[in-house]
Amino acid sequence: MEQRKEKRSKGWLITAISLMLFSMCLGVSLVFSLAHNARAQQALERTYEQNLYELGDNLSNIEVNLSKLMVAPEGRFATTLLTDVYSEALAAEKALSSLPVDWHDSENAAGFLNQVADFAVSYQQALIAGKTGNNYAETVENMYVTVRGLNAQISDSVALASQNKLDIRRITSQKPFVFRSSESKVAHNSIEYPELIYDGPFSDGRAKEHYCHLDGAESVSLEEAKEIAMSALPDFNAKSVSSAGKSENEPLYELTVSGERGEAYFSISEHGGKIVNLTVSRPLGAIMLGETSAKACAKDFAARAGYDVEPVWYLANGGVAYVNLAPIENGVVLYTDLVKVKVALDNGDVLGLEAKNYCLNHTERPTELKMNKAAIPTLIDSRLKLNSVRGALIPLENGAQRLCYEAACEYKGLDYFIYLDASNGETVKIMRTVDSEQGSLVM
Amino acid sequence: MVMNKKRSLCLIMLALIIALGAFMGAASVRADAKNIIKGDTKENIRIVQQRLKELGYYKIAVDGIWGPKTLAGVKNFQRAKGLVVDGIVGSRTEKALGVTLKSSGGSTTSTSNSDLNLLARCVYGEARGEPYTGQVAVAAVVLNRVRSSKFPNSISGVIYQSGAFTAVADGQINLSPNTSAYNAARDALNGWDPTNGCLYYYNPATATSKWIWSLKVELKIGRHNFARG
Repeated sequence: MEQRKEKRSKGWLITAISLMLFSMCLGVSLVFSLAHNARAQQALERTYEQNLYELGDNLSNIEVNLSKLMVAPEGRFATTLLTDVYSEALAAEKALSSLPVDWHDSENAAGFLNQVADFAVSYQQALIAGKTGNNYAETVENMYVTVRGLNAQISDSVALASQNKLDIRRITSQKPFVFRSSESKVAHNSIEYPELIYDGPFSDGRAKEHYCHLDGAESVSLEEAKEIAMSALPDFNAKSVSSAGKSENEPLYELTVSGERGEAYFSISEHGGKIVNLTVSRPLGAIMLGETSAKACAKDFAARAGYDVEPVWYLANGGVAYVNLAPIENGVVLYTDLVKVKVALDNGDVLGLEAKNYCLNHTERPTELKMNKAAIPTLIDSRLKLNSVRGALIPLENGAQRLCYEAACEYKGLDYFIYLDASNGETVKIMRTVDSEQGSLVM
Repeated sequence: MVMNKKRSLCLIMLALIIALGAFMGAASVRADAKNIIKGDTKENIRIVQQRLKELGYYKIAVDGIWGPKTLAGVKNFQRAKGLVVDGIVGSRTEKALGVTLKSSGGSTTSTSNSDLNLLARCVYGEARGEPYTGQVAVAAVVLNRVRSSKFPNSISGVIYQSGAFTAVADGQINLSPNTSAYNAARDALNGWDPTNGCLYYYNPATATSKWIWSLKVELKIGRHNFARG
């Protein structure tokens, strides 16, 4: 009896020691874990604070440079100032997007900073082209006022941070509050961003996209669009079609076609009933086709969809080929009007088509190249090996188009496409082809 | 007596094991076996899982995560092929599987491949289970934001922007994307945009933001509404 009691008490003792050991280990691990989390939190907060300080510095520099630009709107000094404004505005946008500010609260400020950078490039290019800076003076002043306001409020936040009085994690709920858009309850502290019109991709003056190619084309009904979708892919064995709505900004019917092996999604234009976008999903088999066959399949499908285009670029990856096709008029490749077709390399089925640029841009345009082609080799650096020259209409970043000569060149084993203005020989753009795991890319 | 001693010993061992386990877990030590697969990357694990699945040695989802089912699959395969049954995919097992695994040494990944990977992760985290076009559409929205002045100017900047994507907030961005997500990302990078320029999307069944509901819906693909803003 006594022995049994002793054994029982020993058992309890061992259990108690085990539990104590367990609790100790758990406690130690908890302390380690909390310390680790606290360090990580502090590191994160320091990074946020650094971004806030940098944003403040960037805004101060932009403010100073814009104020100088107001009194020196032209010449080499203005060009240098604009370079600084460009880089500081991009850095400011990056610092802003790295703060713990909800993206919706910061989108107006981010948009403004991107416009400042974009405007600086546009202004600088105008000065390099010999134009006067007078047209930009008013915009510079508007920008200056906005940057000054933004900088003043950010400076207040920076001052609080420097006094260790700002909880950086709650920057959007603390005063001074600068980012939230005007519909917010704290609108009294929000910044009014001016409308900025200049010659750049982010300009408020950019014309709304318009499908020039479809102007005057006959309208098709939803039922007609469904018929076009059902018959577009003969080997797809389409079973049913449903409408996903009609985009109002762009007159397109959005349709989903279900077939035996998957789904196809069509965007068909209300005017002209053209396939503007197509995406097909189905499993892929072993690769059976090469480049020539894939290009032929792409060209054939594009022609059936009403696009008279030729293959100009090829890229194969993951069992599919991406073929870029463009209209060629009078020997000039219209890169502005690209049609892209995706081909399955197992049997040549078309898996996609993208013709938005064609529909936006393809209208009658002059394709006469004013300079003689024979002059092009003299304009290319003699160190480059010139392989071929042909005419090309290319899109520019600001939405404009430029008629050029495309010179395919080689230099030290690297391949380049150099685009020279067809009227004055000026270099407009240089593209380099880069071999990657995805195929050859142009950059 | 012997039974009691054994019981006490077992209790102590159990307590120690639990305590040790708790400590190791809290100290965030990853106990993954090393040299499981050449390169030891998720991509390589996915390749092995896919091949084992084709050969009938692996029955569950190809997810790029090395778990007991993958290990068992490798061992069963090695046993069936008369290889050393160690669960390690070395060069012999690799050859017997008929796959080519990527080496983890040296980084040859270009910037564009990094973008592709990140975009595919975003698509997988945000839109897996959606129709393929819906996945392309999500990737296209990311790229439309890169082109918009109101958003950061890079794919990483847009994806990691504070509060922009749920998959980033809840960590699903770190899941290994499947082939469909990669293809969708590749399509979007090659210019496909089923949304025709939309900058926003939301799932009406789960969206809580008042602001997002104020946007005019341009089109619906799968469970997502897409808007231009």
